[in-house]
Amino acid sequence: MKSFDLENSPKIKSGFKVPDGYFEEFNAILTEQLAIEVEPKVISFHSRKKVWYSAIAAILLFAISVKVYQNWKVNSSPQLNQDEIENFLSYHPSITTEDLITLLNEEDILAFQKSKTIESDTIENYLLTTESLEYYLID
Amino acid sequence: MENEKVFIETLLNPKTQQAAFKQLVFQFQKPLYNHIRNIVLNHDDANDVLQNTFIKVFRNLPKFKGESKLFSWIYRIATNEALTFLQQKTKHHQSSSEEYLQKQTEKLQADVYFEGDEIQFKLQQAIAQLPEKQKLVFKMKYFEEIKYEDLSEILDTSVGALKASYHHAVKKIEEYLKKD
Repeated sequence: MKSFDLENSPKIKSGFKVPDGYFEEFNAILTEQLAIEVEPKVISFHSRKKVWYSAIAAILLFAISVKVYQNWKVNSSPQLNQDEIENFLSYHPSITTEDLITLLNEEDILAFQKSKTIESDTIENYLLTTESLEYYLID
Repeated sequence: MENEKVFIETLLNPKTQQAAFKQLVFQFQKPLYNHIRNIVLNHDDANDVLQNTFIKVFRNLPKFKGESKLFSWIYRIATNEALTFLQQKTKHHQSSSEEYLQKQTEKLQADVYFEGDEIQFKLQQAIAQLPEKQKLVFKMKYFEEIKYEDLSEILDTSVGALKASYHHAVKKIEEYLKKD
């Protein structure tokens, strides 16, 4: 087995060869490819038209959505509160207690009874100050 | 260094870019071809990788910040392109990178663009046995004579690690060459 000192022996070359005129040809091909890279990209009129159509469609859709949303908001939002209803009834004497009673069903009356607990003192005071009490008692 | 700064400015200026890039290609095409050919072994493959390398360099010029030497940056792109090319080939042939390069090395004797004698062919066979990193370091140091400091920038590896890789590679190659 003989020793081999790679570092101190004459340099061994890779042995690779390049075809004749390769680099000149390479330059020409590369220049052509780079010219394509540098050339500004042409955007066809049709593809631009498509973009415009899409943009218009998107705007229309947005406008319609806004309108639909606003209508829905108007119809659904304003809820009358209790005070407003009370004020309305107080200043419209044409609406009588009987009118209101006819609009209430049994469930409403029961709910009303549950929500309004009346103190016995209040009932007593009411009976003492109401003139038509006797009429009701006789009845 | 000052010259390189000026040259980079001409490369980035749209008015002077084309002429400057031609100069860059002229300056780098031969050493880069040798670098790539040493990695991929076959001329046609080296040609494809070299073209891709220059196109990538051209496209990425605006991103070059001058943090490393232009030479190191270009070599890094070339090395990555060559290694990616090999990965794609090995995937296609369903083999490891070592197996693929060993097969390519055996084909060298029939390659019209390889004019190596017996010892040159044997050296190529010895290199083909090395692990990937040692192979790369050995080729760049022994054939291309790139300084360790530049190698360190190109391969993003410390000089110490590169020296160790090269030393191990040389020992393995010497062992292989003294077999007969």
